[in-house]
Amino acid sequence: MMGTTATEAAGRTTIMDAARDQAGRYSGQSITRVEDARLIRGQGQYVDDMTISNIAYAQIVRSPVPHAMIRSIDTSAARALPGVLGVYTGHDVVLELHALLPVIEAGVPNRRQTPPQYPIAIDEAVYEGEPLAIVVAETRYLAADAAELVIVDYEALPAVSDLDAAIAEGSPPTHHDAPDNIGWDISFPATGDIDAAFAGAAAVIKQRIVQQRVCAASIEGRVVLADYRDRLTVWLSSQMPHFNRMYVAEALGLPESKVRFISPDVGGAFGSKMGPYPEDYLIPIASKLVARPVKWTETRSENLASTSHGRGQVFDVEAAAAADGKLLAMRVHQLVDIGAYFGRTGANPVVSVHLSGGCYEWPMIEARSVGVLTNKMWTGPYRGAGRPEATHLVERVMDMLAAELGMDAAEIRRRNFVREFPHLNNFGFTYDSGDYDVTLDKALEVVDYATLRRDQEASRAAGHYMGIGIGCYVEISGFGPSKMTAANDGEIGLTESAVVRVHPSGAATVFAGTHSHGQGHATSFAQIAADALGIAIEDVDVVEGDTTNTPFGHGTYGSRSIPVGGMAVYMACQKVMDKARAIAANLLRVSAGDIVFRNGSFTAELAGASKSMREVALAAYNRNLPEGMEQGLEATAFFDPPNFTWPFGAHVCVVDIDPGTGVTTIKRYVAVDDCGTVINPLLVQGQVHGGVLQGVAQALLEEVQYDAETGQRTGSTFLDYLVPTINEMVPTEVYHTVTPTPTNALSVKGVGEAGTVPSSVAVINAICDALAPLGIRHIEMPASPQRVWDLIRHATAAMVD
Amino acid sequence: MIPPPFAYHLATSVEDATQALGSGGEDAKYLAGGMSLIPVLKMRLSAPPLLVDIGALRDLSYVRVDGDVVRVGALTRHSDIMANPTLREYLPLLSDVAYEVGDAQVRARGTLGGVLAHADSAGDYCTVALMLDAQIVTSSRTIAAADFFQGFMTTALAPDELITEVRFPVMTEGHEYVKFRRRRSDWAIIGVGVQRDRDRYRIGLTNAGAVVSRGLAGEEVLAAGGSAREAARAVADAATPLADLPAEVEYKKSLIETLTSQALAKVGA
Amino acid sequence: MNVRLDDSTAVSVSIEINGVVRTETVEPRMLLVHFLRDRMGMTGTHIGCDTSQCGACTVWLDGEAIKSCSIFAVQADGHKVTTIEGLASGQTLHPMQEAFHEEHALQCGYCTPGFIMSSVSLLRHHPEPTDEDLRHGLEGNICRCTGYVNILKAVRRGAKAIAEAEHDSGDLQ
Repeated sequence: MMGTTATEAAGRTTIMDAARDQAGRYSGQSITRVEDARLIRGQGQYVDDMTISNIAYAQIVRSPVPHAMIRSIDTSAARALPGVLGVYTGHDVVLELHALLPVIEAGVPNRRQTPPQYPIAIDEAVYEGEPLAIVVAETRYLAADAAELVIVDYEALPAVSDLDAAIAEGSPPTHHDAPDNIGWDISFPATGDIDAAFAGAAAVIKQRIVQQRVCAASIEGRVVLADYRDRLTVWLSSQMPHFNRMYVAEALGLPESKVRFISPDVGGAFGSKMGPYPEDYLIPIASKLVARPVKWTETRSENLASTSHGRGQVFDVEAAAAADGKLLAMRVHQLVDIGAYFGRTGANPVVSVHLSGGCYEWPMIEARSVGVLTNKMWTGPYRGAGRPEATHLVERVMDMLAAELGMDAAEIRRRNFVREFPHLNNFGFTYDSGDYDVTLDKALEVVDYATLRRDQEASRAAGHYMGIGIGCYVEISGFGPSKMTAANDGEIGLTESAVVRVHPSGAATVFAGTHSHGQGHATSFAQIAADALGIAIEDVDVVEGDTTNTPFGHGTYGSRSIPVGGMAVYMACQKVMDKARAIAANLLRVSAGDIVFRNGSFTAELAGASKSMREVALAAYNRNLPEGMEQGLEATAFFDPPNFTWPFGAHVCVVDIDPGTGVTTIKRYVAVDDCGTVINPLLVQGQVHGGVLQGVAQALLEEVQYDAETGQRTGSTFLDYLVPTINEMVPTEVYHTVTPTPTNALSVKGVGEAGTVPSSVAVINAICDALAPLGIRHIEMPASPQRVWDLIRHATAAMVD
Repeated sequence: MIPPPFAYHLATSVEDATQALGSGGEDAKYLAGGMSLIPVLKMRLSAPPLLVDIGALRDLSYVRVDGDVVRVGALTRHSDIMANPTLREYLPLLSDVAYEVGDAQVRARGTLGGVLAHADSAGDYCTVALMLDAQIVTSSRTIAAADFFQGFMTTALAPDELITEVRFPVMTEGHEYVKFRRRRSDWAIIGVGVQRDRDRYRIGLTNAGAVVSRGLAGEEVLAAGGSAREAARAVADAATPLADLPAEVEYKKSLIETLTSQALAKVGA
Repeated sequence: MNVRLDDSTAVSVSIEINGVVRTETVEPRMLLVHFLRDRMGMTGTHIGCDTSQCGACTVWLDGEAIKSCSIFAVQADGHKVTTIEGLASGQTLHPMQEAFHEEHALQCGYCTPGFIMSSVSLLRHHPEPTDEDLRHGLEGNICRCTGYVNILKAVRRGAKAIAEAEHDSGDLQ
């Protein structure tokens, strides 16, 4: 453990002035980003910025209701509008389709049904927003006009919305010909006598915890530009172009080699641009049918309705502890709101059960996960993708048990932390390394916990409501080892790849299979490569996102880019260096073993001579090479990590609640995170800032809402879906500790989602702590002013009674 | 996102504007700042065949004081109302309210007349106009605020009638506008305006019903010597805020009481 | 300017964009943001919503920050528009652009042009902005990546840099 750092205080270098530090490294320095140069000038290339000669524009006609049989779709008026090139319905599209949207069956444990998903409704619409027809026209404006002229004759069917009702006997089905709404039902039995554990407990708590649906709401929505010619080229705002290429090629009956996917600059994603989505199939088909390039740009309303939602789970949890605070047992029952279709990632939310034990030693956990089909847009990964849900669950449990026992919230955690690593958790996952004490200690030190608790007592005496909330977490990142992920991803393990090519002048290009959508790979990967190759960082260029020149990659999500992608870059650099060393040795007429690489030079110490990378690179393309060695200086590497990586941390949130209005104000927020070795502290800090605010926003502001009667979505615009503005900013103080990991040679863990993992629960724990004197034990998210006010009012009335 | 097609006329004068609108058919509309109308068109909630752009009538943007009347041109933008030194002196409540409207970019375009014509009960200026008994001057007459707001987003304006000026009484005494919302740039969930006017208090409510309303019950309590607390309670009891659920109505009424109390305390009632 | 009362298909507009007058024929309903992006090819101004909330489309109209998604191109006829592309001078960045870079106030970069345009406009009204001035002036721009912490730092830094530059140029005079 190498000590703690307040990232705030770390020195910073701009990319223009970047130089190696005293240890001769770029990695570890806060270097500003090389990609900013185009972005601050408005020279980014996002998909909607792109145009091709003869381009046409598409608009999707979507189901206005959550569930209906489609009797007919009349496209005649739309087709007659001048400037309309074509209007296609499901009957047209199926003629072009060789495969449906993928559902990884193996990734759906104990599956009961996985409804087949066409990219467009054929005779039944099962979610509001499901594509019904696609209009292609000369301009965006005409496409919008024509879309209004498409007439859909449908017969509304009952909409399945509430999860408890959906699994109850006699519920209408989400798909009209399905037997029920159960997608999967998997049980994890306890490893001991759990009834006895509960019976013998000093404290037992029972609680329902709801994870409301939220939207990723990246500021750029989804965009697809398809150009179907002898080859199919698709520009897509996506986190994972290679996978999407693979699926779309198959669906269109094209060889993968004749399909090119390019994700250029992507304006945020947070898990919502993994897909594949129906439009990823529809737009290439439209291009084929009209024989012109076609572009479709999602509106915000479409994005909030028809791009995957996050979270969407309900937990019923019971937990038991002994009088000294030691955890005895937990029962977790999880309902997952799948939506009408699984989406590719299938039953990923079961990971919330896998990690429901959090940072703690649990003698036994019994669990059951039920996936429920509903007439809604499907849920998919959203920053944290199951780990915020798990953390929220277990951290609420810890606070509730502490309250039952009259024990301090920090103390009960300390009494149960896992302290030996590697640690095999209750569900077969091995945490690689960790030190949960050091992050909690640091967080409590920064907030001066003892003084805060005294302040709280004084505040309570004065009739105020001040709360302190702790969120400790361990989370899974660095997806993932092929042996554990391949089955869930269509037999393609989540390894990562890189090609490193050194050019004759000694500059290098890194081609990576990841895809940055704000994470700064062009800078962080350049730091890694520049260190490994001993060249200046400004001589390294990082290329991502084009399937033509990058090796098969798995994209960016699951906090995987540095621990898996960065490692692939590092490994490719090692292979390059092996060859470079041999070339240098040959030039210096020594053996490779006599070469020492230091300060960017290959040195033959005994001979007192050296060669720079530049000289070696030029030689690599020349004729003075060792016997039998081919020209060139490049290498490809695929990294298959032996394990996921397990970042961890502790966040502390301090709130004030105004009982008159129910408004919660965050007075202080401290984040201490440990992601192992940090390549660029500045970038990590930015990820934590952004991640924390998204978690806080789920706790206080955001929710996807449906009308209780009709199941229709309400509030599908930024007027009603409340993403935070600068006024709702959280004053996040960011610290990190460094606990190495044996999982990879760089000793790095992912951190992109870490900020979001504990932040919702840190806020909710703080609110419950503030309201504890009123007997309030729990509050659902979002803890809107109305919700808080209602709870206080009922509690106060109850006290009076 | 894409508005429906419309014909466009740029008005060169008030007369030209009313004439063009009059000949444009039933659904023709005026376009001022566009901050209310353009979002409506982009959502295709409305499809006027003609828009008459009055944005070039810059001589309808002014602030003048005539004796005890403050005259504000209908096309004065929120950003100007916010910053205007004359208003700061003679009608600071209006400046304070303008500060709370929308966001910076909206304030740079939106107009006083536009907000009043739109007549959303969540439109903060509607509250000020009503509680101060403003006079709304149009291309054909003058309408008292009490007669102007007639129903849900409905005014007394004839289709081609154009607001040209709003006349407020000079009010320099204690005032407060409390706007409660989830995010600061949102429309009010509930807003309460209080203006001391010599020996009485004027109280206005934002988004407390389908139409903008005044807290007359509270004004009466105070006029009769009652406490601020009682007045706040009276205002809340009389209010009929709209909501989907009964619990929401209760909460809003509670907010009305809390915010009215707060505002009255600020002005020393 | 020629406008026919009953013409819904085409009007002629002349708009000075980043110092150059551009004359085009447009439908009256064409939004300024589409005019800039699709007609002029100036794609630095972005679209992030459809209810005038997000501010990614922020440009200057006669020097004031407005949302180009909420104004028709025809309303800008005869006016001056400045976009993000007009901020730098050739290779020399505007101090606010530098400040956003130095403070890592952008991640995906999509909201960034809008934020920069709003920030510079805000500073014209408040050269020494308080925290309140900053939040009040930037609440019409939404960012989903940064959590705003670094954006606030960047705008403060930009404010200082702009003030210093003006002071220096004042000295030269």
